[in-house]
Amino acid sequence: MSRFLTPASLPEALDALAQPGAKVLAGGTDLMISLRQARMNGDELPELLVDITRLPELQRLELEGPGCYLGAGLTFRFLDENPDARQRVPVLSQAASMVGSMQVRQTGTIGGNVANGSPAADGMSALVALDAVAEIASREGVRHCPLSELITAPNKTTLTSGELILGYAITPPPAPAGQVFLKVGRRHEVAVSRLNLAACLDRDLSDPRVVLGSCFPSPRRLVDVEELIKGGKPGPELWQAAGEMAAGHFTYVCGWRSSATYKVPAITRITARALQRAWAGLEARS
Amino acid sequence: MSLGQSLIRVGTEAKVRGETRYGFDMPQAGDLHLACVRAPKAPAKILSIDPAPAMTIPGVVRVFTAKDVPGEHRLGIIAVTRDQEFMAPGWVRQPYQCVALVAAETLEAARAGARAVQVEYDNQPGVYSFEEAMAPDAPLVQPEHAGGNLLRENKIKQGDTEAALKDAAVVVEATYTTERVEHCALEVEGGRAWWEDGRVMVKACTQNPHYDQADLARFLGVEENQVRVIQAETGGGFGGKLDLSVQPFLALAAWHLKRPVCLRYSREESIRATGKRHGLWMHFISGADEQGNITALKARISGDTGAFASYGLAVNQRAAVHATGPYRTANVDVIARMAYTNNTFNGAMRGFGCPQVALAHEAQIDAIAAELGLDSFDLRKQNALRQGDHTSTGQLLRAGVGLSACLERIEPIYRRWQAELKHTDEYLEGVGVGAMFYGIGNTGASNPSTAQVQWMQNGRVTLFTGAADIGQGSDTALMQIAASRLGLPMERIDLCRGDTDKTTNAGATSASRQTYISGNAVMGAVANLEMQLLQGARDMLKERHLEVDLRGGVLRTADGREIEPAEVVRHLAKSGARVMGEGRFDPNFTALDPQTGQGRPYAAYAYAAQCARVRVDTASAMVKVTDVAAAHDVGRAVNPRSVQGQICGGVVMGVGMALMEEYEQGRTENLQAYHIPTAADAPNITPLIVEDPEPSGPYGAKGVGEPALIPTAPAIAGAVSQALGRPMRHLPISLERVMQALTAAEGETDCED
Repeated sequence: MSRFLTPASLPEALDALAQPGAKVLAGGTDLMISLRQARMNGDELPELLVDITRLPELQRLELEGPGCYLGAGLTFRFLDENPDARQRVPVLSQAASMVGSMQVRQTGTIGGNVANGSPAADGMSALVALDAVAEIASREGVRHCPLSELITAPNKTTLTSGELILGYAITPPPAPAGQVFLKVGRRHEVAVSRLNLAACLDRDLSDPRVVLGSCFPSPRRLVDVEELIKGGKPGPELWQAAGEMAAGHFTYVCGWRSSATYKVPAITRITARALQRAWAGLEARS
Repeated sequence: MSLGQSLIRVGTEAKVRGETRYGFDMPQAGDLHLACVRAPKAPAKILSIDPAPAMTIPGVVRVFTAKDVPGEHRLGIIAVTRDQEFMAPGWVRQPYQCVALVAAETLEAARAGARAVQVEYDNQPGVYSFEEAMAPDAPLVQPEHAGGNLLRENKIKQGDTEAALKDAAVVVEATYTTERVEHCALEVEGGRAWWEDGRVMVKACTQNPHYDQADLARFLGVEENQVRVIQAETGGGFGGKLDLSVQPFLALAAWHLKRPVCLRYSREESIRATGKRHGLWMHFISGADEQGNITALKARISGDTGAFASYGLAVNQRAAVHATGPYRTANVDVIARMAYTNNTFNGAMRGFGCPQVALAHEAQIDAIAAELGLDSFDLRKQNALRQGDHTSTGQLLRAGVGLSACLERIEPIYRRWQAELKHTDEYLEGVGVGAMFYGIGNTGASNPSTAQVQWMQNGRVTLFTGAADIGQGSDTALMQIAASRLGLPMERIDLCRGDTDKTTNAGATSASRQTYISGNAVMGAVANLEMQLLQGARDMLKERHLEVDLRGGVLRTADGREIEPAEVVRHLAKSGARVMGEGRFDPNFTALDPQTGQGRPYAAYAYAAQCARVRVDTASAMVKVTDVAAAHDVGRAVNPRSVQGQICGGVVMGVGMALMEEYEQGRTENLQAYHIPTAADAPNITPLIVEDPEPSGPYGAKGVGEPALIPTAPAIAGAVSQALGRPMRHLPISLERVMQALTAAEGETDCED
């Protein structure tokens, strides 16, 4: 049987996490499922669950000025509903609004979303689009790691036992920017993304961001596509070309698998749709 | 009179308060816990079972194997195909079949014990599809079965189909398929058994307590009265709780150990161990004349029932009987074949094959309309079964044929939606129609119900019924029927339900039969009770020729006196008599001719028509069902709100069948992998009640439980087909299938089909 601890301070939490067999409990929306599975299989349970939801350090939200920061303990529901987040990082708010169900959004956090390392994590795709760099603490100190380097394989991260994601330094695209998140699932709620796409466009197309999720070991920015957009003339032809390039990149990386008969046209169409909407959103703002 | 009123269902408040205790909630402190050891692969010979490692685990009390079954191994709800072994005796026929059962003091110990039992298997060649099963020299799944791997062939022959197809102005031919579907009742299977007064008591979720009692007695090798089955509150069934699930394990352990035992499935075990809806392959050739009158149907249907027949016979027969859909078809040639395979078994699920064939018969009528350039809705009205028509089994429909009325109710909605259709850069819209007829009760077989109604000395009335309410509302419906027939308010009626010691057999809660059949049994019981009261009043007043009747719950004599029935009850009690009316009803039917399928399989049919509006996203290929209008001829709505609830639930289940549900053995075995609709996937639903009274029904009532589901998936398939401009003939209409059609429509690739 696991022990359960709710530390009141960050040092206390990091001490607890340094113990062997300790596991972080944030929203619990992934952890509880794996604990149930472990119980059913008779596998070992973590010795210590460290509930980090009371730590104020993980609730930071700074969206003004140069150093934008999102605490790892922020929940999807908060990010969906918070007016500042909706204003400054709509791509993340939109992603947050599409995660799981209301119950999952109520408790699930962007820290857990990344730490779980799912290739289909919706929050993760939006964070990558915001160029997030994770701030990771342990008893030994603090390290910083871009999200693209944090996930090494599906459900595998460079996080070691004893480490805790505190939050993310983010660099939103230059304002004003059109930001759009689109998600495809097998149903309209409580669906693991078949694919998701985060797109950000600024008016000069100087810093476009295109992130494709649920297609690679972890969500990734499509650099070629971004380069194409940088030099392009905004409009349907460019969005279509970007979509085709995105699909081509997917085929290049993943090869032609049976899922490609759906994914290739879907990536093309979703990418074009997201870019078109991001641009339309930008137009509407001026 | 309570009949026709939307009374709040009995038991609702306790459910809302969370106080209702379901089968799953039965376990009590001190119970032994059970866990099943299930085979990974099939077929396989069991070489050895070694319980010793399990017995070393602290808390493990006993490991049972097939050797511990005192009675018959082979059980099953349809007597002629009793073939399901709950403890595999030496041979595993399907994956997840139970080979050993562990009883332990705790759940953890039971599960650890189940993992520890050592079973040695010798895997054998098997068959895993209809085609493999029917191949010459295929290994036999059930060597005891006379027909090899062919479970049954059902034929419907009427007229001269080949000639009619030759003469037809238009012939449309296509193949349709549906996949296996899991019931996903909210409550997973669970229950408890104990030993009391030398008998085994089983209290578990079920759709059929009296069947459970009979088969459990057979399993234990005892008389039926040595087993008492009490239906626990049951949180949904949809056919999945018609077969035995946890009950044989509970009964076996309690019988041997003489201690209370409990067992509840996890969701995963529930998905693996219980039956599924059969996926069917359907090849339909339909002919029509120039005006669009359907003249012929040639249909070939095949299915895989898995390793156990379960309700395979019923599904096969119903699929054949309902293949024409609710349309006049003079020339019919249907052959439906169902085979055993080594897959996990398929059984009853809401509609028994009819939701599958409805996909085909509705798409066929759309195709005929398209070929002839006629309006498909008009074609449905034109071909709709009417009073005086004959079905494909030659049955004359004498009355209560409300299909045209259903179509008329949805027509304005359908026309409006068609007029409002929008296609944009981002989405395509479509509207589709599904119609159906559905025979109430078992097919061409006796399926009686019985009931008792007792007037108590305190003036209250108790209704005794064996009919399992599994959330569909039969408790309330039967009480409303009793109350109305007695002229009493509902508050005066008490209910005793689903206990084999206290109630008699009402048959299964299946085939949409309880309101019609058990409702009629209740009507009969009240009539019998009334007769006893009248006779008792004459006896009490010593007036042999007294003219008296029961009105408004009071006995009234012709000369104006009023007598409380309770007075008569107390009078009769002095001589030891009780006033309990007995009722029995078995629908009027004839068995189907084995060669031609001709006969009168059902006494009554329900009818329905639904239309669905969908929006297809052109980027993601996601389909949103935005609206469904559903008109159902229920004969008479005993409780309109209950009927609406059934319709709405059926429609949402239909959305799942149409768009996302697909059980893949070994793959979609939890609710993350197996998708059912959420509230976000539910359309706006307009339930419309049509009442064309069924002369043989209680107050004219028929049934609605399964009809609520049947037209939905075809209506959605029709709507998506219209949106995409291509027929969608395979369920579920997944992202992949929609994308394929979208790209094909735009000429990017060729569409296979």
